[in-house]
Amino acid sequence: MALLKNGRLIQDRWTTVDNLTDALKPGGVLVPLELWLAERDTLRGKSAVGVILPNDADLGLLGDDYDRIATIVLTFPSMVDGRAFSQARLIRERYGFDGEIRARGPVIADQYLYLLRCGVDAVEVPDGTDVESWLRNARRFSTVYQPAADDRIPAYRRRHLVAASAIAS
Amino acid sequence: MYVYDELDRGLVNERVEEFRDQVNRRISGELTEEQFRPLRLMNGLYLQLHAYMLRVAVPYGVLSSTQMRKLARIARVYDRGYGHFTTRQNIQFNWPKLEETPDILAELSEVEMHAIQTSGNCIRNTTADQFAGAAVDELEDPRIWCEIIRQWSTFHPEFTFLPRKFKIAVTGAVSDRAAIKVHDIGIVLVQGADGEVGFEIWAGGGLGRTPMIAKKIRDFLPAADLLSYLEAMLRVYNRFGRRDNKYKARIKILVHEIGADAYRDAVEAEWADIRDGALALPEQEISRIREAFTPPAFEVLDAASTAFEARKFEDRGFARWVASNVRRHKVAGYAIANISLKPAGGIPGDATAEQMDAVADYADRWSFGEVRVAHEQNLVLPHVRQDDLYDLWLALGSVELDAPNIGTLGDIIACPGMDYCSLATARSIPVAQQISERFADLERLHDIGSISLNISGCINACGHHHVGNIGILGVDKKGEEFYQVTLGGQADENAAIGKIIGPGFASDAIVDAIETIIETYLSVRQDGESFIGTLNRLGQTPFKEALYGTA
Amino acid sequence: MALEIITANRLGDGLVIFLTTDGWSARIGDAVVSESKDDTAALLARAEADAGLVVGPYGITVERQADGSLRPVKYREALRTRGPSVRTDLGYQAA
Repeated sequence: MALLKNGRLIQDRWTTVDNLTDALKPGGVLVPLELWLAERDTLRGKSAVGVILPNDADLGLLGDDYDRIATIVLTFPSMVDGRAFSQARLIRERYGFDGEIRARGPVIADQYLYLLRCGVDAVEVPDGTDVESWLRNARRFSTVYQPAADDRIPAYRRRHLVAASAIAS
Repeated sequence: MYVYDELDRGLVNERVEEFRDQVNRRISGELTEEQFRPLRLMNGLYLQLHAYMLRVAVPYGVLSSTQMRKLARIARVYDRGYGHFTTRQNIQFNWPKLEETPDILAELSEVEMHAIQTSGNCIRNTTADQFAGAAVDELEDPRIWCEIIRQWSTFHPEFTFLPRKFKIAVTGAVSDRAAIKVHDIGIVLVQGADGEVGFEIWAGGGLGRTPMIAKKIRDFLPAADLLSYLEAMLRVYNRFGRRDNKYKARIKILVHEIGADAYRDAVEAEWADIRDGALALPEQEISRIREAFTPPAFEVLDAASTAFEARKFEDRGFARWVASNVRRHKVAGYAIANISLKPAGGIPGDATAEQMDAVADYADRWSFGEVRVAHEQNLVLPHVRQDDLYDLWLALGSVELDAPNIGTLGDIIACPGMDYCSLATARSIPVAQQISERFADLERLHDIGSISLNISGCINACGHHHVGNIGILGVDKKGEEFYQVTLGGQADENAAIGKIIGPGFASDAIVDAIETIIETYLSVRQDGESFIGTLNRLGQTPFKEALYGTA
Repeated sequence: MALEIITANRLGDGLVIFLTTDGWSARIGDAVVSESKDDTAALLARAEADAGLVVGPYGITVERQADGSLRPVKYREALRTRGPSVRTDLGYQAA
């Protein structure tokens, strides 16, 4: 698997582990939520740790940890299970997390814009994925109708910004 | 009506290109059917029994004459010359080709139409009262809020992969013509303490396998808070709605299982965090959209039209049509004209391309170019001068759209059923045809009076049979089509789910059963009492006795 | 065991088709017939491999009529070979 991030396909340097010993090895490690909660004190000392969240996780469980975690992995069990879209937004907008949020699961290019808008900035994809196809989808829509975790201005504000600046000038 | 600006137009065009790309990738094999299916559903494209079916959105049931002409053209050029108006105010075409659908959508976009989110597990067409802007009893035009909701819900990045479909309805009057209590979210426009318009919010209504009446979630929500509150409601649903079982995935199940209080608490807690954020609607945007629904340039007329009264006196056929099809308008001298798509023996809700073109012409001539689609599968010309009603009626007669049966037993609401739909367990249209033929006599029809009869061809209840005064559900009984009857459903502000009356009926017995029910009503009703009035007074007993010979 | 055939909808235009010995046909009479569960499974596998041509293949039970023609046992499947019962001017029945 590779990582689609910042418009490019890069090698994923993080390793998913399921036990503390492996988690403490050098290099970036991604640990399941239960492992983080059980070994929090130890894992907090390691700099490159990410947490894998099930898509029905109580986000409050990570409490003060959001500034200690480098990466959060959100789970899409299937393309049509959209719970993690809400999680991504809450993690960005409510908990103020500014590390990497990555999507794991069988998501497709046609969902990329929604992922980005919800605050996901990396997607685990098969090697050889056609990045252009994903980027095309991300760039496809010139307007958004609603605010989200990104900084795109929704139509209902844009319309009146123009008017306001016209009045001001 | 709302007219697109550049931003709206751009989005619809970009959506067409997105879908064209998706179709190409499906045909080339880059996308599997499993990946493609949710994408095509979100552009309204189903695969049905005989062919694909395209459901085109008619946002809150409003069409301009230009748009109606385009629908006629789509029917003619890409389909088999007709369309079907649905119980959610949309239109369906039954024979589009996948390969041509991007072109269909491109043509629709030329007149500000689309098929966005008319299917799929996302927020669907927000529906409203078909008399909005014309009704005497409305507090404010609900379409203003429907348009605001439409935009917010379109391509919403967080709510495009919900546990299941999501339907919102808005009524601008206490008299609920939008059936808000059987929607996932129902909104009633109400007046606040300072006379300002706000909303009463309901949630968890729905039909289908487990019909439920919505629960009130909030007594009053200020107008500017609408979108943030809806966002909180959807977020709770997206996070906690069931995903383990397709038949338990609607919000009504969530509200039922955790209770309305727990749902409300969760929504209010979520809302507390977001209410004063980016979703607070700017007053300028509310004004801009409100202006789009400025009433047309009505003439100043007398409340009564002598010509109109004279015509009714002279022409009994016209008088009868007026009695059933015409409703009072808020502006003196005007009227709301309902166009029945239920000719006796016809297919409920279907219209030919010629009829659509004709209605477009009549709208231009007599209704400021505006048409509405009712969830009862009829059309409406909302702003007709009383003086023009006679000419309109004559014109409707020339295209067989003059059936004087709105709100009567002839005004049958029926899903397409097994003749078209791959989900169906029985045919519904033939039953509708036979019933409407049995009761074709207009004197009898008008004597029976106000009544609703809804037919669904399967348990998904797209015919809304649960809320029909008489409901018919078609099932499969050992390979034979079989029909269960419910009584007592109501779709309005007194929303109620019908109760099954007893053992069902074979297809050669169902029409007689309906006739028995009607005859029973006629024999026990009190002066001026409607069917539902009699039923509510006496209960099912007399009907059961008549049908089954027992109490 | 009863006779079974495989049906699906054509990807491009959505019309009803039936699996034949070497492809697909709009005529039920051309369908290849299975007389065993194994045969049906094999036919279904072949149908599913044609994902670029067809959508949603599945098996239906049929009976051979006196004149040799195949007729689906279920009314729903019989409708699919004809078209809507309420519009006999549409669908295959109109041809």
